[in-house]
Amino acid sequence: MWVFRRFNHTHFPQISEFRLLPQYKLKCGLEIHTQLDTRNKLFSMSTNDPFHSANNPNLHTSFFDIALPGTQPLLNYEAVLFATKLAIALNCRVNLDSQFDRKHYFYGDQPLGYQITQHFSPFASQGHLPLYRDIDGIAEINKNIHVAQLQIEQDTGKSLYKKSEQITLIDLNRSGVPLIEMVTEPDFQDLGQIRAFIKKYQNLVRHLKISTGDLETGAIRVDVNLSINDHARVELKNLPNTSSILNAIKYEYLRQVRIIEDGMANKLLSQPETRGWTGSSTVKLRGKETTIDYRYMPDMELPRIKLASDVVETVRKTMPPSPDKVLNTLISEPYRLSLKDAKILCLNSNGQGEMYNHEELQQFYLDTFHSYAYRVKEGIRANNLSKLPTNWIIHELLGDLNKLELPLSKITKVLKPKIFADFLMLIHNNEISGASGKLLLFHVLKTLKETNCDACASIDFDSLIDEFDIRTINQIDDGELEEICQGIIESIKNEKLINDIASGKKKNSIKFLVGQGMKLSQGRIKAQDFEKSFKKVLDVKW
Amino acid sequence: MYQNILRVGRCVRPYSSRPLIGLKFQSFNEIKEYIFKDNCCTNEYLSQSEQAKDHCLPVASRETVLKLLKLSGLPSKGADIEGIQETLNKQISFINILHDTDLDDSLDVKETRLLRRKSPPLSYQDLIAKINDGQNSDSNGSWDSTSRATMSKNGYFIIREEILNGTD
Repeated sequence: MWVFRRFNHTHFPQISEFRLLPQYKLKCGLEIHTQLDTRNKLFSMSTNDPFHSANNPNLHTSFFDIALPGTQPLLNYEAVLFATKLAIALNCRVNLDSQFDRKHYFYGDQPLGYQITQHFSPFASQGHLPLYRDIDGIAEINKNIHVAQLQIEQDTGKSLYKKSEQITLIDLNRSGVPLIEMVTEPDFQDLGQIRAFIKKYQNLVRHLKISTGDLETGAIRVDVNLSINDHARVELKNLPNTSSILNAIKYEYLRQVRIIEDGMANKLLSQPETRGWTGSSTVKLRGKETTIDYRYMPDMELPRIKLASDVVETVRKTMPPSPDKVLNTLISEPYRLSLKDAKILCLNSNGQGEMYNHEELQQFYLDTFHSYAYRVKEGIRANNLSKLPTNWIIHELLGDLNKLELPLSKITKVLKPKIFADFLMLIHNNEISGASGKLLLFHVLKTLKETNCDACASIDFDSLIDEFDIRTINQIDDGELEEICQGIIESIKNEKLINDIASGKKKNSIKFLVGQGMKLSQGRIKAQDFEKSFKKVLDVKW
Repeated sequence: MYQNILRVGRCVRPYSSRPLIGLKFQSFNEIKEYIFKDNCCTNEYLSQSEQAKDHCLPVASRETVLKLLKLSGLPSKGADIEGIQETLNKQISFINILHDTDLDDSLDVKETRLLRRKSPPLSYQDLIAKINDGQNSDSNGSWDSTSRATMSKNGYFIIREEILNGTD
């Protein structure tokens, strides 16, 4: 029998070339803990800033956070507001009468001896987050991931193990930081869906301004529940980033497939267990025999969270449109942005070291677009309207800001959307070439940086164009231009190249000649004029 | 029954959105007086149970005590097992009394709190007012928390390995 099983073994791919095997169906659910970015902690007035205070252990610890006897929790209702926003964004049913419960377990970084969470009556349930092929890059046209529940709870402190000294150092800065635990239904069937969901969820909490959404700092922590062909579920923990999450799933999938193929599933996959990720493999942390009895009980020191029915609707009205809705607006009339460009205006980065946030960039783009569109009016086809604003804001301006390390919020004090639209009109009207435009924009931004974006300063593009003598020469004598082209052809001394261009063998190389012309004329003569003239000089027939 | 309600009533605290810290104790005697003042009278229950029929309760086995110590994260080495068995019996008797206590069925168990019961639902305005009220407080409650600890290192609290041994 053993020989027979081995003989029929499936070929297992390596993790690096992982693929799901059709006869082994993967089923996954996620449990995501999200630290809420409230000003204070969940049950005390301590500052909620565990990441930035990492070098100052126990700096933000009030009496309650270190569980001094006699202290009692005081609910921070900002966490309730944030949880309501997330529940609405995830299309959940908000429980207008939820409660806090105590989950008992003993650990050094849990000074109370229990965690305050919501076990019996969580804050929200029955939600969903839709994923789309177009927007989220999943394989299916769309897929709904159902959200089982959201619960508000407190974070623990942090333990630093000093094995050699036989001690554990405890930092309680994180103790009592508000968390939302979100549990999804086991709806995920492949890695693409999991990757897309985490990314979308991360962006959502940033968009709602309820969390920094960073996996790296632990502001979002993801546990995975996984089963194959309906065998017992395995919970994967200690997954610090997206690649750990995906690699741990791949490893665990292959491990379980091997167990099933070896006929050991009844023995090894019949009971749920918890496994940790070491960076290269999953290891058993807990099985059924060591399941903890958490002795849940209602927390009698905290009131129930009772909300009137108006709360959900009023909070909904204060919320920004969803990222999906904004994306759809931007790829539709009149903007018609590509999905890639629209995402740059909608997706939030982690905000560390960035020169802009998506909100200010989006606003700057929209204001500039409308100002430009108003001035262009009928002079352009509708589907070309976004070409200049997109190229010059998303590609050129952002590149320059990164190069100069200049925040967008600073330059917009002077370079307002209306003024940027003036600049776009110079290019639209061919008053300066694109190449000159790039130099001019960089010069303006550099000057802004040097003057510390003095709000009183003004930008006079016309004077600068004259000063640098970069105004496009619109009416150039054909003969004169052909003479310039002839000079360029002679100067590059590459007969073969010239012949290949003339014969049509290397059509694209004419761009090289045009580039030389642009360089020589400092961008004042249009590229199209150069191309036309080169073709005439070389007697190009193609 | 009436007495029970009164006892519980004394434990109920008001609940506001601002942290409350009581007045500073002025002397050691004041602290002693505060700590030894019976509020919930658990001793009364315990002594009641001693007099009651619960003397015949079976004593928890040594193994059970060791298991409970492990579950509670307490060291078993050098533990006074007999003493713990005696305390456990008292506690079980106490729980038995709680089980036998008449309950007022008109009370909603969902509302059981050491707080004012039946608080009205919060409207959106109430919710925002509570958030603003909480954030206007001058104090952030932080203090040099490790200064009062017997052991600390570079601002960290310290847990010795032997306490963690045998816990999950």
